Amino acid sequence: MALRAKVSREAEIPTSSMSDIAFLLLVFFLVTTHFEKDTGMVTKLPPTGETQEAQENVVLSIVVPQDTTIAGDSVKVGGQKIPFAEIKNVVFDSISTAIEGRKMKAPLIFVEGDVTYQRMLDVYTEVIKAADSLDRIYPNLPEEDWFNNQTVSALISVQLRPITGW
Amino acid sequence: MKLVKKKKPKANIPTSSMSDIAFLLIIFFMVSTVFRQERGLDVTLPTGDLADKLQQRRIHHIYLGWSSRNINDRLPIVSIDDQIYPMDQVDGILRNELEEYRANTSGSEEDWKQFVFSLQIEGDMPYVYIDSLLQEARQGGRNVVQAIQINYGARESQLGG
Repeated sequence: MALRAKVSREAEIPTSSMSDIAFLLLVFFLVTTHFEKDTGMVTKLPPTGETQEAQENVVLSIVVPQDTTIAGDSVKVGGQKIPFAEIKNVVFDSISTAIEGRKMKAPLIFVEGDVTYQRMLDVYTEVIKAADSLDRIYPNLPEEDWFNNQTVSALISVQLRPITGW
Repeated sequence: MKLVKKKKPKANIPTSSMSDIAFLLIIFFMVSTVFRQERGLDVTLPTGDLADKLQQRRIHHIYLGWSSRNINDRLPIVSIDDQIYPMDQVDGILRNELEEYRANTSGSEEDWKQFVFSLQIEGDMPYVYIDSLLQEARQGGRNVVQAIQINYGARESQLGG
């Protein structure tokens, strides 16, 4: 009987599809990974001692009362009672009239202590919308000590104040 | 003359190291990705028409929420760096955060542009508590920074601005 030499076979793990698997994993994680980013509205908060007391004639007051049973949906802008939906237009008109008369009125939101964050934010948003429109039209504010090199939107501030005599 | 058959070289792109590259990429992203560890407080943010993604890189969260879901038995609590404080004990915490940031950076204007206190506040929180928190931040920023940037945290409106 003829003896045959044994053919030794190479033991090999097929690795050709390894890259497919790796790239599949890579693509899967790239697609499914979701990085949560903070959202909101950024503003500047001056430290104490850096602010000046606002003079009445250079401030446009936007008063937000808590008691919705009396005030309903309305707020007071410059002493005038207006519905929420009108805030943007009234703030825009009041400030642009002031600027045209070579004056300036900084929007100051007075909020009563019990007003919720949601309500305050809603009013704040409407004021920012008006200020953004004004910034586009009036990039340079009247040259008064207070407002040099500032925009209307940079002048918005919110203050806590008890509101009486609605 | 003996004719030699020309050998056609096979056009092959070596792909054996492809998996090494892919795995290297996976490992790189696995190692370099940092997930936020902060737990904070469970707050329901209000929606805001103009809410936008923050551009700042150094975001310090301040959570202001309720101690309980029960309306009759709840108090406002603050969470900073996963430490919970009652409203009247936030004194000094924010100042420490600001001073620590100043110590770890050059304290330049550019550095402060990247710093923001992001307020994560429950939608039905009365403004009086928010104001007290902001006063603390203002006090903390005294002699440390010209003006602190704060973010009124809000969810992006589905309708857009």
